[in-house]
Amino acid sequence: MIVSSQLDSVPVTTAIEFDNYNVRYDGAPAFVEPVSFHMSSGERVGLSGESGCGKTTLLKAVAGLLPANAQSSGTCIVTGAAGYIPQEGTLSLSPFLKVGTQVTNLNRSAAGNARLFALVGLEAPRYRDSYPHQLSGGERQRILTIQALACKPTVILADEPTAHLDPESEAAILKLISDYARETAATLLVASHRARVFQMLGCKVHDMGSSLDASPPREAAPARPPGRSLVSIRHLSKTHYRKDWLMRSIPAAQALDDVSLEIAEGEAVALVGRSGAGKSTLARCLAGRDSYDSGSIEWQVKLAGPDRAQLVQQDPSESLNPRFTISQAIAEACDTASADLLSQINLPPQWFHRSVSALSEGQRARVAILRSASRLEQGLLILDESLSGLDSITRRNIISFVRCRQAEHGLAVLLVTHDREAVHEFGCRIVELESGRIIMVTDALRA
Amino acid sequence: MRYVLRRLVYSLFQLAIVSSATFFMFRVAPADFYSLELDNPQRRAASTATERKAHGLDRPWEAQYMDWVQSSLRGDFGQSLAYELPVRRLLAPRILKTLTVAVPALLLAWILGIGAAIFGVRTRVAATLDPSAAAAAMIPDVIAVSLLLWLAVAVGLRIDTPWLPIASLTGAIAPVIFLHASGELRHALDLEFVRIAQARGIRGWQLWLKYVLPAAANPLISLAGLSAASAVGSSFLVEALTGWPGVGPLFLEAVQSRDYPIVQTMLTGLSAVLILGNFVADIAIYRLDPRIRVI
Repeated sequence: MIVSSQLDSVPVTTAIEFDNYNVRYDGAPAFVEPVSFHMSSGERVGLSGESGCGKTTLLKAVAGLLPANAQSSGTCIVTGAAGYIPQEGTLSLSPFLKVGTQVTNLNRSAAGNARLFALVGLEAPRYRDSYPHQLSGGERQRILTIQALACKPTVILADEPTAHLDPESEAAILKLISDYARETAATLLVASHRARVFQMLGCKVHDMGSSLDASPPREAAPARPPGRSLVSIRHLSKTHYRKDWLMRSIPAAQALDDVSLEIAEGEAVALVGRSGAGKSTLARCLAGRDSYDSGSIEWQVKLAGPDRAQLVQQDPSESLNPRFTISQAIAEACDTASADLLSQINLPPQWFHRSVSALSEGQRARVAILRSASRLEQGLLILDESLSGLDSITRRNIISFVRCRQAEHGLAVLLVTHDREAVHEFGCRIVELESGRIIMVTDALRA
Repeated sequence: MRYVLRRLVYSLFQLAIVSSATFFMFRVAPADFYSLELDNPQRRAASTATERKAHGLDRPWEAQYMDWVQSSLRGDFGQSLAYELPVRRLLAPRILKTLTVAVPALLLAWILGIGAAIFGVRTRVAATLDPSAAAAAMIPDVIAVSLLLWLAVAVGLRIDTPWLPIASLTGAIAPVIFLHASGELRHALDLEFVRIAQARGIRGWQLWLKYVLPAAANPLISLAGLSAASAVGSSFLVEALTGWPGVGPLFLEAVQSRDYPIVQTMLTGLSAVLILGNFVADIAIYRLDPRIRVI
């Protein structure tokens, strides 16, 4: 499995070869056009294209991880050991093993593993002793990268390896991948929506095209001045516990430390900070998905829980029932679901009765946002990194859709993100968290 | 720790409800041991009345219930009406006999069921084995045991040794375990993290012990708790059919003669096995699954 390569004597050989290659899921082709391209070993290629155009499928095909209902045609030849970095960490890591063990199982070298953990900024021993569900989305994503590199691959397949990461961690991960590829002359195939990722890795960009005709972004509705207070969070604190072998609770990490925040009706607030700073925890507490140790969350509007706050999770695939169709998934939240709504999120209306499981990660994220946004009128829409897996046109469309609802109904938005552009377009007040504390609040820039 | 205590309290509460329900069920039953005795022309109404009185059956329900609760907590489950002996003395040796059949059968069924499932999934024949296992699971115990008996007699094997009830019980439980296990294992092999681990070069026992089995374990552990009770329950029937002197034949006899103290004790005992099995399974899952352990 492990092929070591000598830098000096590497002949230029084919690493990946696609010829007229296509994959069909239950008859429907995954790529708009059959893929034909060639990568020699050591080459770096970035796959770009609208969400749903088949980037993930192509990477999975190279990794040999296509699902059972996929049928491929044409040729796909891979030489060497593939190291696949999946897009999403909840399902890709075993929930039963500590992440340290999951890396050790792949590579016994303790020093090498410790170096990898340190390079991605997870050197504290508590990370290695955590189970995946105790980590934040960004931390899980970094673990996936460590895992792939611990296998010493000669072909690295990275699927949005930094979508959930803050700029600092992103730079660290990309440098790690880039350095590894340079040292071992590994081939690099990266899928991303962000040109920045390709730039930093020095990739040649291969555009896989769009899955459908992208409609131009709509005019954003004028912002409406924030109204009265919607929710006040006072002195919120929460500690994560873990259990020892006798099942006693031991404090593991301070997730929230005396957080106080006021959100007004119609306001947009961005929650930023390094991965693991407690952003998702605060979002989950607000949505009533998580409990907190002390402090209070007071809602000023008299609304039932689901009409008050809707949380769109970081990994939207987990929140949608895979056996549902899009229409069923949306009808679950609001009874006025109609096919026209799909155009708001850049999906063709005839997909209304398509199964959720046939969608790509990014498309599912869009359905999840649409579902939550159309449920709410006055409450708080919480988007936990929901926009990070989307291409720029789709993202802009969704932002204008949410902003329309903001202007019409006075919906407030809490954006958990690393994406400066989205923060800007929403005109957010920026709240920065670090180790569970609010360290800075920047007022909204009026556009 | 709090979780364990909470589960324990909950289990005891369940047992109290079930045993009380059983107790009252036999008080509202329209007939009892003595009304059956009246069919005997040699018995008189007057003599059964004195015997009812001797067993305290003429007293109000509340008093009987309080007595029964107190004595049960002491481990005294009353007197058999037919044998005029303490229920405990009647049951104890028979429970031992039942356990010598039920425990090996349960272990054997699990080893066979899980083993066959792992073998089937690894060699990819599990899907083809499923229908036959389902068919085997559907055959009523009565017919299966009768077939085994007939076979044993035809071949000339001794039928008064424990192998016959053990084999029958194993045959009754193993297919169910196989069906569940093969389904769970196939599902586990298809999970994203298992496939990714495989793609990263994890193979053989490491893949199975560390990735596949934990992912398939939870429903099977719950099933293990249930199967303990179903082993004891099925053994009643198997014993009665094969003539094994466990609790089965006594239960049948007690039901027929309306010897309620025995029936009541055995039903309560059976539910205690079920509740205990569930309790142990819950704790085991809690201990093994890090996602549940955070609660």
